[in-house]
Amino acid sequence: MKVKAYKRPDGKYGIRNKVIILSTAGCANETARLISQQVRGTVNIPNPKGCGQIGKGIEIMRRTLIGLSLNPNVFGTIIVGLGCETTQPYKLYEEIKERSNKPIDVITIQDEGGTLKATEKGVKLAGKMVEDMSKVKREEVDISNIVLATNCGGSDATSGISANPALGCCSDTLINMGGTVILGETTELIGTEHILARRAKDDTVGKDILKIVKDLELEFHKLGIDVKGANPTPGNMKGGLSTLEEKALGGISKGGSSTINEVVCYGDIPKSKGLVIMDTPGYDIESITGMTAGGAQICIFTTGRGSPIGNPLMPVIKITGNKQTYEKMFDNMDLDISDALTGKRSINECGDMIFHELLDVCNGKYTKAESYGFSDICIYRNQEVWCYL
Amino acid sequence: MADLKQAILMNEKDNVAIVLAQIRNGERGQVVFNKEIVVEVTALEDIETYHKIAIKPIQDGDIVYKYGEIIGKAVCSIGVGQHVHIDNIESVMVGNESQSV
Repeated sequence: MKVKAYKRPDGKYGIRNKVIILSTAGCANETARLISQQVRGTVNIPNPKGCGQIGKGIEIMRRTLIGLSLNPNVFGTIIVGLGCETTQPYKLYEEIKERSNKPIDVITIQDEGGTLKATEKGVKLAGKMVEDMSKVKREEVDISNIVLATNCGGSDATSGISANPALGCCSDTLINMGGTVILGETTELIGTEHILARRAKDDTVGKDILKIVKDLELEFHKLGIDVKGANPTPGNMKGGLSTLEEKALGGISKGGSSTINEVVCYGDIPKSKGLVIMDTPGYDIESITGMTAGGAQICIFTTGRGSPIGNPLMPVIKITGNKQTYEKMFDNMDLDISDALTGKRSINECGDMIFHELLDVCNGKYTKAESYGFSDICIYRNQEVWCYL
Repeated sequence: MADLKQAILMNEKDNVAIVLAQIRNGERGQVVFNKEIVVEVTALEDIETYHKIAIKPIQDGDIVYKYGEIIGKAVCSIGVGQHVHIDNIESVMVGNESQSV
């Protein structure tokens, strides 16, 4: 099966065409915003930190910034830094250039001599880049080039029995055609790690699955939190969920039933196709940002209670099996699959509906969040301690 | 018979189904898998929307399946048509940390 996509010089294919203004520290966010506001076709990627970070924190930050620039939906990147931050904007520029020959430029506010000079230079560079971008045409490419990010949020009693398993059918379809699906949200995997490990391609991947879940559980224990004991929550139980594994199984059904080929760190680009697990946090925006850096061109988000979430680089298709939510939050919801819960359609048929929506959106159809220009992004910052209350 | 309440089966291996609308004690319901009626059951108690109903007899200690996977084990015997929830099943994961792959 084919979709229409933009070819990138590194051999990847984007389904959107964007120039990103990538801020490498919170101190550069406002200047980056000024540049982006002046040039149509650019998107501003504000940084939640980028400086005053140590250890794993700065490692995750730099890896994710590189991944965002390498995302296939990105035509080119203007890095906007302050100059003295821990992310090291000039070094980032070199590292990105080494991994892809896509257009890229870098400016720092300190070297340019203030915001106005940096903005002037940034606008000129971005303007030229957008002009070049506008000449790229979509071409027919195999759907196996598509990397789908999956995520859920605002779940309710319908999520695990309609939207998630239906998305799972869509995931299976895409993987059978050679594509890639990312399943994340490590907190949601707790309770199903042994089931997932049995579905791993080999022992190494199986151990990786058990490790990310165990490590997270240990972190929670250090904070005095018993995740397993706290789930399902009283609200979950009221909705009909009886055990931790029942809740988690409803969540992981988004990924479908394929063999798990790889486990990757937050923001890392998978080497394998097929089903891949990314170690991401439970906060939706951070989780989806990690998958964006991992190279996903499109995201499908399941929800029971509704969500407005979007992303600056990827279209986010929001689906629900809750009819009331679809009607009440029509402004935000893309697809209603509540027929799965009336018996009008099977879960498989709803999976087909989702797959067709995926194809349409890959080929250019706007999602609700895109039409509003929503660009939710937040790079995960790990647990960093700099001061105590 | 179109007005029979429906319960959805997530996987053919499952011994529980999810009722799609509240079902009353004594009411009959259809268990549906892939739009086809697999079996009919009579509810032995009131069961809330999206809660589970036993569609096969479950003995004390038996594994409870949903999605074709283990969601817990029975802590007493559960008859066909009974509500399956926190009072009669428990997690096999929680408090059992030594489980291997």
